[in-house]
Amino acid sequence: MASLRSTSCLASASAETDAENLCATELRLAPPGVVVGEDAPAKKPSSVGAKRTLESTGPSSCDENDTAAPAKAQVVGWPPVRAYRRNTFHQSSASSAAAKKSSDEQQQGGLYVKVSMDGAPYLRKVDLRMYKGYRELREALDLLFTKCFSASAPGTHTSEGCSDGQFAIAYEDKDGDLMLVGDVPWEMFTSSCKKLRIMKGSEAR
Amino acid sequence: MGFGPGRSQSFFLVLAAARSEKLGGRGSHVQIGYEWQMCFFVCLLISCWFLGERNNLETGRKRIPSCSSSSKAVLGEGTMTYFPEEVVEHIFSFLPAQRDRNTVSLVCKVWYEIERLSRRSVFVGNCYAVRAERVALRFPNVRALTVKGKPHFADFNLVPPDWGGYAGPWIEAAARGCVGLEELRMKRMVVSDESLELLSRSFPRFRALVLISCEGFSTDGLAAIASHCKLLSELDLQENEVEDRGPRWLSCFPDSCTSLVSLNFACIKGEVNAGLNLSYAPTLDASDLTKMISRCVKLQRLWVLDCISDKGLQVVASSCKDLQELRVFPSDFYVAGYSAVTEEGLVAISLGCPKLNSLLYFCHQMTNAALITVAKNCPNFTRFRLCILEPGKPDVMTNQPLDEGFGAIVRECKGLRRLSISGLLTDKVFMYIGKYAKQLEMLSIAFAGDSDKGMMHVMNGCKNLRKLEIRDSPFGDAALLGNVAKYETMRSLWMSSCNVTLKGCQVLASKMPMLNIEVINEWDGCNEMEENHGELPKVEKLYVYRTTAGARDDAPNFVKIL
Repeated sequence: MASLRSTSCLASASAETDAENLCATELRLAPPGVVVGEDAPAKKPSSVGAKRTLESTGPSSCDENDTAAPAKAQVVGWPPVRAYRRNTFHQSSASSAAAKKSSDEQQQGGLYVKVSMDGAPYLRKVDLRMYKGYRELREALDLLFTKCFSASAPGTHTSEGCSDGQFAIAYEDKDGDLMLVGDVPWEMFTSSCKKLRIMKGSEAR
Repeated sequence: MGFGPGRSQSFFLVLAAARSEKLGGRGSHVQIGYEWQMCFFVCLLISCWFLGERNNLETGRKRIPSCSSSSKAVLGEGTMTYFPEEVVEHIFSFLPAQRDRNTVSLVCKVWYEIERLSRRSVFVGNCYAVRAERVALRFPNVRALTVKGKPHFADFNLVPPDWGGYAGPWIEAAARGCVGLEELRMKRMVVSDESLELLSRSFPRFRALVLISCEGFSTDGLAAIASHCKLLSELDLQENEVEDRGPRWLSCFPDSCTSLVSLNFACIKGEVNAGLNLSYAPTLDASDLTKMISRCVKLQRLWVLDCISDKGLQVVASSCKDLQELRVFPSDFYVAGYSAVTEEGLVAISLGCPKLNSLLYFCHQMTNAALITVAKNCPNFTRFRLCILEPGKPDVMTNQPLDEGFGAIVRECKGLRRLSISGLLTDKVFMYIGKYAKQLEMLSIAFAGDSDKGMMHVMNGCKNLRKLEIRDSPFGDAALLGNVAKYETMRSLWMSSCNVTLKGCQVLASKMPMLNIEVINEWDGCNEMEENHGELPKVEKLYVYRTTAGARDDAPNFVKIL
């Protein structure tokens, strides 16, 4: 995942245009033209805590507003406001300054959905907003369900990952229908996905 | 504890009975003069102990510290001759506080039995500190049960989902052993619809359900409660994650339902006289808001958004002279954002509302001078929580740390029980806290301190500390291990994104077997804790709590209990 820290676009005079192009195509979590501030939340130079929060890939993203002021990285679980209040407020608030507020900006709450896997003893939960696309989601599910389960329950299922055809990933959408993951654009998927289910390949066919 | 049989016990009981007669009935009479009663009671306990000891010296008998079965027979006879159990039980009924009842149950086995069978209200601050079955077995006649689950920082998404805190075992244990249960209060627990269904069917006299910040259930579970709890008079749901399966559950209340008195599921709390919660109303015009508040002169509790602005707070200060609790929530969560309240609003409140004892204040800036003024104006704070939205932000006027400001708060507010600090803070603030905050029970720290010394000031100085929660602060193993005996006197410690290593946690676990040391590594998966990045790997999240139940068996795979 892209680091939330801005990489400095240093360039020598001769390679300036190259560097500019490089910067322009750089993958980062900010609207184009905005430089994500590298300032640590705490002003301590050697604070481990500060470093950690910048690298934190929790449910908050650094996308904030579209103003020219450098956006400061948002920290997980900060400010200490209950999720209920966050979500409620953002849904009911009509007086938010940014008229160009996109649906991406409703990332304050996180989008946790349950993930069940056939044969697994218990469910997991993932935050769909943490992933930028299907590939990352698959990798994450792979990690969650194979590394953990194969370690704790040897012999109950093979050690292959979810993404090798052994399993299919399906989801339950708003209407309650079971759909195969990957058919619709990512944003459409995250807005309609209610639950994830990892099914044995034979069932999926 | 050695008690002389019969004689000294009777001495105590006679005096206590005489005292209780004077007080007459219970209720408000018990509240007034309660402290005196407690002093009296403690003095009697001590004097009886001494009397007992003197008896031993005179007769040369060796006192058995706890009642063995043979001496119990003697003791029992002695007690029964003088005082029937009902009298002792009646005297115990004047001790509503759980701590006191726990104390009397330590005196001897007879008192333990009397106390446990007459205990009506049980409070479990940490659901993993004791086994549910054990509580149900010990207190079969309990009527009101309160259980808390996840650590406080779970409210802010710092505890991964599926960490634990399941209500199921508690409801099941109560269903088996405590059928007289009437009230259940749960906070930060995972409650399933099945549990709610079981709850609704197991307790014929059930009348009050309070769920705060819980999750795991849907409106179907509420439907079960509505349908089967015929005597339900209070249903209080605050800030829960409830899966909404439609409004059908509301119609499950029987038509003949005349018992429901208090229904709160829209997060509007209290009556207008006592309290006003406008913290979910961002579209209220500021001037309308202040106009309304200026009429609520009897207001004791006010929750608002920062849209109220400093000016609005000045109106509150001049109108609401009875105000005891104020909460100002942020309308803009962005660290770099803007807020209409500043340190000036807080100072105005402190000047105008002398009865203020509980504060939660979100703002974007603060000064030492303001905090010092607030401390002088309101020395009665019991709860003081200040959240400056930008982590590590200094005094906005002087650019200094806010050590002196918070130092003034703990110095002046001698009754302070809960404190949350924010802004730029060095080890000095912790020195002040350790030195002055002697009544402090709960401390929340974020992005503060310079070194281990900071945390150690707190651990060594705050005698009444029960809950300590720390995030993103440079405290490491030295601080964690600086005063290990302290953890036995505390309910819990939470540390996340600090400098604690796995080794440090292991050392703590080996020194203190009565603690559960939970190392929570959410995103690394379960096995990567053993993978070494060269140096000692830092522990992402640490939760330490005392327990009689041993390691819990419902921990998910990302929690490692040392």
